[in-house]
Parts: sequence; structure tokens; C-alpha cells
Amino acid sequence: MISTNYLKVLLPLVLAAAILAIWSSSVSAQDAARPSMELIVPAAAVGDVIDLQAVLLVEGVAVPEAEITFFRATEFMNNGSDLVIGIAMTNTRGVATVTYVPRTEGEILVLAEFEGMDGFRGAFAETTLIVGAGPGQYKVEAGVSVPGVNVSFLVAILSAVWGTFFFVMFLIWQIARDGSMTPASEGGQSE
Amino acid sequence: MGPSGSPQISGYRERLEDRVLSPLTTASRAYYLLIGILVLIIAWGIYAYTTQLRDGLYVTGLRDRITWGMYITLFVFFIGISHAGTLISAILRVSKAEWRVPVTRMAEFITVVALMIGALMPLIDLGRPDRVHHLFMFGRWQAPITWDILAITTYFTGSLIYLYLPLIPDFALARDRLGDSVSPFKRVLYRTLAIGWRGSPEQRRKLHVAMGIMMILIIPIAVSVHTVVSWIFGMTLRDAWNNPEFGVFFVAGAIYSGIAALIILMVVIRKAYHLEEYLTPKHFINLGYMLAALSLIMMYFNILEYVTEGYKLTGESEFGFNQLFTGALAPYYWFYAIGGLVIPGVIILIPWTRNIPGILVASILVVIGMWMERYFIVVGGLRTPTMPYEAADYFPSWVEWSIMTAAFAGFILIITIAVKILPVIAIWEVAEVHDEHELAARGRPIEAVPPPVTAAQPAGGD
Repeated sequence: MISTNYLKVLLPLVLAAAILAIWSSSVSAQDAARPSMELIVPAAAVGDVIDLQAVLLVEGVAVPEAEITFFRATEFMNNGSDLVIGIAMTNTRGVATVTYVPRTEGEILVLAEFEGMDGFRGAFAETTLIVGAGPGQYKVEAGVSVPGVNVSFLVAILSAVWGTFFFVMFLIWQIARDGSMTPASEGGQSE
Repeated sequence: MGPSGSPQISGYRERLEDRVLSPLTTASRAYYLLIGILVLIIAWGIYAYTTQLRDGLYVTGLRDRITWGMYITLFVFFIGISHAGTLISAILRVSKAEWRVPVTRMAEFITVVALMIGALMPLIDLGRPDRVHHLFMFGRWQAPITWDILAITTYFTGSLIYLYLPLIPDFALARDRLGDSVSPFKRVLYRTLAIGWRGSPEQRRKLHVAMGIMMILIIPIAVSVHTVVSWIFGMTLRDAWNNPEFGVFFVAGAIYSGIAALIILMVVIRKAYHLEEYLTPKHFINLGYMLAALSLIMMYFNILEYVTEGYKLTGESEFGFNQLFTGALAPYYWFYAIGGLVIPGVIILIPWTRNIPGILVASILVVIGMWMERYFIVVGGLRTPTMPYEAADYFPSWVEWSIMTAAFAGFILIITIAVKILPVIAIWEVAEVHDEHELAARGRPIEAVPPPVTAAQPAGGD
């Protein structure tokens, strides 16, 4: 009996609290500011160390201390997904910066996302990074240099081997040619 | 009576041709059943690979610390097996060891098939196989992986040529002898691959020149291939792989496992196609002696490595030794050391086990032992921590086991199909050696031997 009475009192209270919570969250979401984000990427060449910048503003006023995630679009086996480049916080000017080194030439779709926080809704921006040909990422710094022992030496050995293969193939071609010129009656047998 | 004027010689040739060519014309129900089972295993392996392709390498046991496992083990293992052809065929051909003649074809064929399967493994190991072309676009001459691609491509091409050259007269024989007893596909195949071979003196001279070049060239190529494979490990900054003798150790191990694989194949083919007259106990015992010698060489290399490294115990050597001798990899290591090196050697050296069944058992132990050796080299090297963290563990997932099983099934399948297309014994070479012996025994000079010809049937349709 006691427990039923408790329920009669508690149930309306719980329902009222739930309705209040939903109402207050919708009001706060309506009140939250809607920031705008702009993504700034410089022109780059392969191997360049560049800064990708996202600027987060609300009606022209910077949003500091906001976490921005930078991505680049990727695709594998027809499944698109985004590769995280890095995460950065906006400074007092609303600017978040990550460093990026493009490794391939061409156009890269760069994306930035702000998931939102107290008083601010989320924001999203994307732009295209154009990467030109560069001097290459890798620089050969040989520790010990022996004159004559280099890539040319390796290429010379490989060329000699493959040249011999082609000579043997030439001999096979000659065997075939001899066969087509020899009447079946001469020799005529397989071995 | 054959043109050599000896009924024994022509009778031998006819019997040899009949025996070796007969598998090309018939296939039993058991053969098709075997093919069916192998295809099913391969299909399961393909399913496992599609799972890996869809979900990524996460479905394997590979993680950030142990990034090479089953696939790279299989890569090294199959490249090793491929050395059968080089040693048995090329080295023994150069040294004019006549006993090797009936086994060369099988050895050369193992080489080509093992290379085909082995070269697939690094591709399967790739998390992003769609980027494999990057190796060619962005590959650097300084990278061991570039040398690997070049060495394996060169070895595969050379082995294919080396397999094909002595096959030309046998293809011509199949063309002339088999006629309508084989399918139209095989008739076209034999006619095409025989490239108009008539056995004329000029053709024979050119064939011998080509074979002479290839048998010498293929030896350094084969040695370079497994040396380069060893450099994939030896040139990585890992203490367990920091071994300058890795190249020669890998080459010796490759020849060791290659001979064992060849012996297993010989036993199966001898039994299946009743080739007892041509694959005699002498062939198995000679190969067994080579196996025993190589087991001693392998032991020597192991002792050399362990004594020099173990005496100094620099870097992570202590951890490396502990994980091999008493730690996580001990079962693999001790099976290799005892089952893969000591027992096979003992089986062959004891006279009453030095027979075909004994040598077969020794060979099976060697093949399993050498697989385990590849496994603990690959995994052990990466398992040894390079920084103060706990050693990671690796165990292959069902995907890796499935792909491994499919790889072996693929290896057996290609050989099973090939023995129905290619003569498994070099008929013309065996006959030539036999004829020379017969004539020499009767006191006729070998130079007087006329070019041997087929006694049975006239030339075929082309």
C-alpha cells in the first residue's frame, strides 16, 4: 500500500521533470549561437610544410577555446571516409591551426569540423588544397660514398642479366624459325 | 629397332615415352576429386581475403608492433622452396651430375610455382593493395623492397625460360606422339609450345647454347634473390635481424627446404604415375645426402650466430634469445632445431632409415621445421621490444590461417594440373643419358651417337 502511494506521488514528479528537461534543452538549443567557419589553405607543393587554418566566428566575433578537427577526404574500394589530419584549439582570434605535409600531387579536399560546445552550435567547412609538383620528400644523404658503386652499377648488372634473357629468347626464336624452314621429312622427329 | 641399331635402346625409349606421356592422356576420378577439394580450399581462402580487403588488416593478428606475420613468413618460405630448381637443375647440370636428369623437370617446376605463390604474399600483406602501383611510381633505388621486386621478377622470368627450354623437345614429342588421344586444347598447346621443333642439328645446337647460358646465369640470380629477401630483415634496425651472415643463411635454408619439397613431390609423382624405373632409390638417397649435408650447414650457421651474439649480448639480444629458447617462441624454435635439423640428418645418416620412406619423413620434417624457422625469424624480430615496453604477442587469425591453407592448396593445385599437361620427366635428356651409357658399355665412342629419334610414330599434324 505504501509503495503504491509513493508511486502515485513520484510518477507525476518524474514526468514533470522530464518534460521540463526536454523543454529547457530545446530552448537552450534555440538560444545557442550559430558560428560560421572558414577554412584557409595556402597553395603548396609536394613535401612543403604548410599550415591549415580554420577561423570560427559568431557574427564577426571570434570564438576562442573551440576544438576544431581537420580531415582530408579519402576513398578506398568505393568507400569514402575522412582521414584525421589533426585537432587544434582556436586562439583568441578564433583561429585553429594544424601543420600538414602533402605527399601527393593534385587536389585534396580538406575539411574542418567544430562539434559545438556550451552556447555554440557546431560548424563545418571544406575547401580544396591544390598541391603542385615539388622537389620530393626524400633527400638522399649517402653516408659512405664509393666511386662507381651506385644506382648505375645496379642498373648495369640488371641490364646485363635482362640482355642475356633477350639473347636466349632470340635463340628460341631462331629455333622456331629453323623448324619452320626445315621440311618435316628432314629430321621430322621430335628428338 | 631404333636408328641407334639397338633394340634395347629403342625399347627403353619407347617404354620411357609411354610411361611419362601416359598421364597426359588420362585422368582418374580421384584426380578430379583432388582438384575439387583444392578448389574449395582456395575459394575459402579467397573469401577470407575479401574479408580482409573489406575490413582491413584489423581482421588479422597483425598490429602496430608486430606488423609482419603469417604472410611474410609464407613469402620467405615459398621463395626458399623455389630454390629447388636452381640447385637440383642448374648446379647439378653445371657439374654434369647425370643422376639428376630424371628429377630436373620437377625441380624446375617447383621453382616457378613456388615463386608464383610466394610473390603473391607481400601483396596480400598490404593493407591498401590499391596502392601497389606506388611501388613503381614512387619506389626508390635505395629501398630493399625495390630490390626485392626487381630480383624476384628477374628470377621468375629466368626460371620460366629455364623451365621452358628443356621442355621444347618434349612438347614436340607430345605433339607427335599423342595425336588425337589428347584434347584439342592440348594439341594446340603442344604444337604452339614445340615451336616447330624437328630435332635438326642446328636446332639442337641452339638449344644447348641457350640451356648452357641459362644454367649458369640462373645460379647467381637465385642466390641474389634470397640474399635480397634476407636484406629485407637484415637492413632493418632490429637487433634480432642485425646479422651480416643472414644472406648466406637464407640461401642455405632455401636450398635445404627446396630439396625437401622436391623429395616430397618426387615420392608422390613416383607413386601416382608408376615412375619407379626412372625415380630410383639412388635418386632419393643422393638427394637425402644433400639434405643431410645442408642440415649440418644450417646447424653450423645457427651455432655461429648464437655464439657470437650470445657472448656479447648487446642491445636486445638477451630478450631475443630468451623468447627463442624458453619464451613465447620456444615451441617453434625447438621443433625447428630438433625436428627440422637434427632428426632429418640422423634419419638420413643411419643406414637402416636411409630409404625412400625414411627420406620422405625427413623431408616432411624439414619443410615443417623451415616454415617454423621463417615464422620465428619474422615474428621474433618484431616481437623484441626496441623501447621499454612489454613485448607484444602475435597469433594468426582465422583469416591468416585460411589464406595460408589456400596458398598451399594453390601450390598443389598448379602442380596437379601441370602434371597433366607437362611431361614430369625430361624424356629426351633421360633417353640421351641412357643411350650414351648403353653405347659406352658396348665400347662405341660417345661421339658416334646419332641424334636420338622417336621410334614409334611419324610426325604429327603440323
